[in-house]
Amino acid sequence: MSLSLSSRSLALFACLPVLVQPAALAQKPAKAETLKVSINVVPGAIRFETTRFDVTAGARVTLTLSNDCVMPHNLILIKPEAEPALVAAVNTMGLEGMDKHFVPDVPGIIAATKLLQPFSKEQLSFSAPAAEGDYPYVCTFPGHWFTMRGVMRVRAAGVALAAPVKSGGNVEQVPDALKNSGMTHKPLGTPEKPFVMRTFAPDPGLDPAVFAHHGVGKDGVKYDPATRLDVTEKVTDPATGAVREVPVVRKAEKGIAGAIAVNHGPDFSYVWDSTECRLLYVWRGGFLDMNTYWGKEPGSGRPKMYIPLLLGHLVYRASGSMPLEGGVKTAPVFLGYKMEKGIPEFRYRVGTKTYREKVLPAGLDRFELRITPEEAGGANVWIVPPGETAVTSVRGEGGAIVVSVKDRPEPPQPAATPAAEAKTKKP
Amino acid sequence: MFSQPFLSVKISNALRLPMYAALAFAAAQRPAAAQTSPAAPKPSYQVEEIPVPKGIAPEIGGLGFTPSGKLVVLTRRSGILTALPTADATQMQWTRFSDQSLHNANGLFVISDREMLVSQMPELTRVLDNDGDGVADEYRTEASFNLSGAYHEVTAGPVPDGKDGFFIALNTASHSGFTFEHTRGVFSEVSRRGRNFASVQYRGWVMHWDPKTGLTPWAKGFRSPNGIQTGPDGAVWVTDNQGDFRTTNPLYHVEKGLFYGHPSSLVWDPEYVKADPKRDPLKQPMAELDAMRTPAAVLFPYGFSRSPAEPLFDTTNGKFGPFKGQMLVADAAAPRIIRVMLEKVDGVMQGACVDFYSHNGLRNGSNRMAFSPEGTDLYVGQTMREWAGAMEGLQRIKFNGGNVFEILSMHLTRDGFELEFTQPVDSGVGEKPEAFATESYWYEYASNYGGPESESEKVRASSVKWSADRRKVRLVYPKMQAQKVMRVNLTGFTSGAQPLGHAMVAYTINRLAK
Repeated sequence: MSLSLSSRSLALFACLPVLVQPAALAQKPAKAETLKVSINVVPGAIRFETTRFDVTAGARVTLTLSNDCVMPHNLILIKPEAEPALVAAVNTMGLEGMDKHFVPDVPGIIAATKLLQPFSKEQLSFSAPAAEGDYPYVCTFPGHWFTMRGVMRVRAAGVALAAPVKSGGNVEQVPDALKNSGMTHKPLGTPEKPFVMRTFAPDPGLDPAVFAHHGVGKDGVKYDPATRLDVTEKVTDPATGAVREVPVVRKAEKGIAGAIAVNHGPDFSYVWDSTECRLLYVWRGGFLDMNTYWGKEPGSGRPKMYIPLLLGHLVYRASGSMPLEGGVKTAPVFLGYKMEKGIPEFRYRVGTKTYREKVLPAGLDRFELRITPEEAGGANVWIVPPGETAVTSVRGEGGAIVVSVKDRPEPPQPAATPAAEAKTKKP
Repeated sequence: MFSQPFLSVKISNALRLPMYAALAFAAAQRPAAAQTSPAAPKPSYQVEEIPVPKGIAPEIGGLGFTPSGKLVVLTRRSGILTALPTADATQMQWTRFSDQSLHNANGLFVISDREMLVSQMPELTRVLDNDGDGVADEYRTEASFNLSGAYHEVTAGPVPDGKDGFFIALNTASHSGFTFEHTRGVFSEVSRRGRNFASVQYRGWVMHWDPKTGLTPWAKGFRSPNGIQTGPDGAVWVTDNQGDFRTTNPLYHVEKGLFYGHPSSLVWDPEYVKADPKRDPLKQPMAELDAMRTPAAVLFPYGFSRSPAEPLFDTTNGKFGPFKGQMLVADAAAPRIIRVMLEKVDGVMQGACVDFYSHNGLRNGSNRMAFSPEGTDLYVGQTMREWAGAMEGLQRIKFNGGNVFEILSMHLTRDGFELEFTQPVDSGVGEKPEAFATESYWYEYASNYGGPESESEKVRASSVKWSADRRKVRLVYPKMQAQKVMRVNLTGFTSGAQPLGHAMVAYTINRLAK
């Protein structure tokens, strides 16, 4: 089947699934021939439905991109020789790409849409190049261009135009197996079988002293690998109006890298840290919202924040240095954990001494630490730090030190910080 | 453990039909006609989907087999699963071997039904089933990895060193991730600079670990080494990802102590910072870094591989087809597995790459691979967490036998190449240089995030000479140059009318043949 711009072939257009039709024909025959092209995004497939369409050299073209996908997409139509430079330029855009719709300032772009948000469309009008040839169009949203692409064929005047090629029938779509996995972003354990999960964990603003054996992370400055220089921005002093160049700073964030988060059901959760080898905090009323790390719906976009949100309210937070008699002179060494009837027992070494430790709920407003020194006799013992009022008792029990702690409830954690919300919007 | 039958994710029969994916992009694609012909024979390689039970996130971080033949599947957040493979992939009886505690687990070495080594974000962990009830009850820390807090600080490996030890690759942090106020490991302000950076110790390094000596740094200069493997000869191979200081995706032959081009890791090299503890490798001139680095054995054409992951040698001794001893490389960003043909030239490993399998039911995101004990099935695990399309799941590629018509090898000669095919090539085909359309180009070593093919030019073979059995052809070019990738597109190649499976091959010339 061929397409030409003559009125004789109008009957053909009616049966074409993708519109390439001389829209102006009905009103203004012959002169202002405008080719209409509609390109749909195949939802979830990182593909354009139309992978090839023909136009006549020099013709006016209106191209409508419809994005019915949950991801943002754009379409850049470019001269074939310009594509390597386009790819290279997009790859250097980084985060600012979002602001520029991933349309870099490179020569050879014939037409480009904005970055279309889900369920939106945009119409482009342009003149087809005068030179015959294959002109690629691509989506330059990161990761998309290698599958999301097609070709505009520019044909000489008088040459019949072929029907557009659609990719729907002949490109396999392998489903994302995660979509039907039934995974939840709010995992929960039970008192009998706690849910144990090593993860980046939130740092609810703990006493810095508890991070005695961590490094001190500093703010970073955005760096441009192309220039090998730090990236700066202009800032205007509101008082004087003076403009200064300052580095673009990426603040260090609160988070715990080596955390082990454990949940005994809605009533009891804690974070035990494999770097400090101690209990850091305890909370009740929920566990962690992993949306920020895993995505909310299985297979949906991820906010790429990587620190989960804490659900519920804190009832204990560690402070000060590790409460072992004699202090801790070298960094503790985490040795792993065993599951004992479903309960994790952490094992670690401090100096020459080895300890095992369990954290157990003890009613609705108490919990216990059970610390067992492995070496017989003379082991360091847990001490109640000065000013510590949450610890109600420390007793020996069958070779273990049992530390009883009473809840000190805090207000509920904020559901999500504004910054987190902002970052949650886009995959 | 999963007593309830779970809903299987069956792919339609249509997906198993040999179909040609008419993507305009890939220069490597074969012509559509022969494959879509109804008379086409059963394809030699076919993809099958392997469903896993509900409640498991099929984000695959590792695959292996126990000595008793059980498939072991390591997931990035749903722990370890095992199942005896069944002929019908939907009928596997899955068991949870571990809990879901492992953090972004991305490397697996199976020791037995009761013991496995797993790398996860903060550590190398020995997962043990001490009481033999089929479920792990101990997670023993074998080595600790430092973390600045970036999602990008994942691991690859452990892969065995042939003795008692293992190699592990540690990814750098990305500027798209976070740096925590409290880092796991000492923080380097100097090395917090960078697009990808190593602000805590040994990020960007390949490490060696064994029970006696512990974790020791072994080789440096990596960016995002998401694939590591040791060859049958003990050689260490690492794939890295295109980005800053990586013009395209490379495959490295890694040797102890050497530097592989991404500078951030250098701050953790005591020799490098001996004279100046605050020495910043990002300020070092490119020419100096270039002189320090060991180049890649293979530079994958960027359109060919966007994100190489695990390499795996075909150790099946012919059970998986004609590519005995060659390397396959999973690609995480396209529905593709690459085949690499390596050789030693002038004392240096280098070679060519070609598609092994692309599209036709394969999902994007292939991350880890393992051969079945019988050698006839290649298990492929996918994950990229939404980086580019559908990318999570488990599949296997079955070898059905039959005639495989592919490029078997590509050798560099003093004046060109010798190409060998798995089947005799029809006479009258490939007689003229035009049938071997060749481009020559290079990927400059540059700090930019990725980069174009440079010095690109079309070159024409000056002579084409076939062997009598039509299995080998010698191409002679007017000149051969080191530091060039030569990409050859074969046009119209058939064997008994069967079209050549994959017709684009690219050879990275680091050294000329003497």
